[in-house]
Amino acid sequence: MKLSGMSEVSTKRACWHCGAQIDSIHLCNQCGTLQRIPEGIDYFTLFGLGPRLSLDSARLEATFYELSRKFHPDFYQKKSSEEQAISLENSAVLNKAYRVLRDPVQRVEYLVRWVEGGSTVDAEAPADLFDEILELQELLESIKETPDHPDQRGRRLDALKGEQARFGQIQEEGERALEGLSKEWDRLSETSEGSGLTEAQRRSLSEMKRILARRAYLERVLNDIQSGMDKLEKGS
Amino acid sequence: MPRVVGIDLGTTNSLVAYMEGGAPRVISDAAGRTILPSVVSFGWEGRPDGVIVGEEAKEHLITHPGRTIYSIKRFMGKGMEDVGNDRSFVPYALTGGQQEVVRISVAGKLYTPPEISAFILRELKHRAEAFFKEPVRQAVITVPAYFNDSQRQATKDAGKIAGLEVLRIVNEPTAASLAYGLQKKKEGTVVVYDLGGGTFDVSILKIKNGIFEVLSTNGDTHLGGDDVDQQLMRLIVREISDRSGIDLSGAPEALQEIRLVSEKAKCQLSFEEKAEIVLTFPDKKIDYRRTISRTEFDALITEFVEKTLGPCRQALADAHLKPDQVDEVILVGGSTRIPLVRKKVAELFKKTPHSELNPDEVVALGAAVQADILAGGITNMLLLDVTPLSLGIETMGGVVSRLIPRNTTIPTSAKEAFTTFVDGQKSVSIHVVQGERELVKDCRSLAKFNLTEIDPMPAGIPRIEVTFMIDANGILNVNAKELRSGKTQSIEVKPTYGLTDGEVEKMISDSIEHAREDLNERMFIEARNEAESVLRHAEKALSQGAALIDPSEKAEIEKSMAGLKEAMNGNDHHRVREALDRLDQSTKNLAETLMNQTLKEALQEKKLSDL
Repeated sequence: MKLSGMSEVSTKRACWHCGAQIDSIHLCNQCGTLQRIPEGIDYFTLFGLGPRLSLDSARLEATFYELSRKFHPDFYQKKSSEEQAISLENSAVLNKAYRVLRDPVQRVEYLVRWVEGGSTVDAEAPADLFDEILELQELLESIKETPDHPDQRGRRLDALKGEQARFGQIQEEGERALEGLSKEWDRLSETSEGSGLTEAQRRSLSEMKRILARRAYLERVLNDIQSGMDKLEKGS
Repeated sequence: MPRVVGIDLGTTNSLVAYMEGGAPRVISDAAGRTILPSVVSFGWEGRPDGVIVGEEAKEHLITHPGRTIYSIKRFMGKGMEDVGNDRSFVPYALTGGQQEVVRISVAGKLYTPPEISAFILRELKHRAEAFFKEPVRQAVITVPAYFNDSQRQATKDAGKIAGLEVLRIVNEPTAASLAYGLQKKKEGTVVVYDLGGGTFDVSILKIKNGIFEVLSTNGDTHLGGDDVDQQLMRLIVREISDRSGIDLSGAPEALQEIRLVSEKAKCQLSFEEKAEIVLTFPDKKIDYRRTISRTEFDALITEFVEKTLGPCRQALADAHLKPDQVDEVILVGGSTRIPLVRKKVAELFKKTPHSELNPDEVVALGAAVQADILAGGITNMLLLDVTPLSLGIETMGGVVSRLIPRNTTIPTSAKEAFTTFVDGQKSVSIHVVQGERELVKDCRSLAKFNLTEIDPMPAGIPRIEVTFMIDANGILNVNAKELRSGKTQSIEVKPTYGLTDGEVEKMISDSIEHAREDLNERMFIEARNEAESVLRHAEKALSQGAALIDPSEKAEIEKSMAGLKEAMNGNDHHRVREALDRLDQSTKNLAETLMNQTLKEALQEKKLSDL
């Protein structure tokens, strides 16, 4: 299957060193010099994988180690400054790719971003949690105004702990939903043929995006709760 | 293959090591000592640069506290604002304005911490050169994992000033893991707990198939054995004041003596249940004696030891690990000899920590392993380290926009696009900070990068892509590109607490200049010695043969002699050589005449004897 935007980047180019035609992500078969990873290649392709969301972490790690041995600046200490620069840049790309792919949530974010061609997923307030969030904001606001209120301290701290547990649970539910969607996405991708995205894939992606936006917002809410608790603890 | 040595540039002690036959070894000096105390004493005539380094300098800590510098590592890459309490605990003078690198005023000169560290590095370089009997120009130097960009850069600068090409800055705990991994050949999840003289680091690694992957690192660059000494010092100063009413906190010589006694007691308490502290200051009529038990000592340092556990917990959380998922704990650094430290570490990680490798040497040994990897010796081991602190840029309202989170595997990079806000704007300033806090004022300022020479265009039109690259040393490199033209954008870098490239260059050329001065001095001494002997001969010749030459010749010789004497009072060996040549010329005839005379006499004698 081909995704719009994904895998369109060609690895066909001329070797920077000997000029021979190559079709590899990082190596010239003619002269053996390291090649710069083509700009715009997706992380899945770099790791020799298709755009799948359920990844075998042991295999991913093995590939990361194997590619690290190919790119790391330690092994280019005595090579030309051009090759040293390429080794540095490739390692940076590889490390970033591994960081994203090893994390199930970042992996989904990356896929969504890639297919949509957009930048980061914007945080969006979940409409169904409007009342809860408003209530929490009021509590946080009152803590901000009188952080060292002695009578209120214990009560407020308990309230914040409760909120932390509640929103933490909602966040976990979101993660589980993402897991389910990831599996669905992989299943849809197995069966789909041809180039573009199927209607079902598009639906799956937009649902993932919705959960990510909600997640990003809740992440901020959890941060606010934490700093509210810090303030209360410091005030004592 | 050129030699690449591994150097552990420590707060208290430094070492140099190399790799031979697949095993790292520490290089000792002529007296067989492996440890070089990181102490530099200034103002010694007759010594190169007037400087004494190491064991001998350590002796001057008490006799010359104002000009004997120790624990310089605490000031690397720092500004006066950062120094804080340390200032009152060192007897030497720190100076420097706001937003400026700390300078140490000693023996009538100002030195930056990298320059002082360079004296230690040079000593180690000489030690290695004496051992190999060949020049050593390349090195791997270790730093605490939690060192920020400025501190790493300062260490690299110190290497450069000492005449070393620093191939890599390696983190101390990870270096230790390399030495450990090479010897034990074990795999698994390993915690390195590194408590040195002045810094604390913890790193969690996964070792698998020769790959040493750092999962997380944390620490405190301001926590170490020095703090234990200070705890004991405070106790002693307080007790002396209570008993005799004399406050010694303002007496540098006395404080140094108390510091050394404290250090000794600390070391003793690692092996014995109690230590005796004896201090006498006859001039102050102070005779202080007390026994300190292990229990008392533990109570004194509990807070200090607890302070190291927070970073350990954070490192575990960042690596997404629970204590029972850790396979082994390795102890590094002299301060891990303290029993309470071992006990607390064992409790936290629920296992007995390892310490078979000499905790003083293991970091240097690891640096030698990394040096060998870079030299192309070892090919199956690879260290994948992380950046200890998040990197960000200042945005509107003094808020930090995070570009690279902490514990990201290095090398790593981030790209960010910038544009102009005003029509015709020619430059854009980017403020880069390091730290975990949300506001710029709570993070550490690294540098200001000014994108300059932007072609005048309406506001918002230029698109400048800036790449922030953290290399394998953990040091930030920045470059910029104008996206429409594809042209490289010029950048001016103003490090907040570092030295500019120009300043480092000047220090390097100064040190070469010094080397030249030293050489000049030696050549002058040699020329003067020669001149003295020539003058003696000339005087003797003149007294013997003045009658044989004409008066104008005699006057010429006397003039040349006076000229030489004058040159000998200067300091230019060229002038002495010229005057020597002139005297040589003017005495040529006299010498020949005298020679002929002697020959004639010899012949006459012969004839006489023949008769």
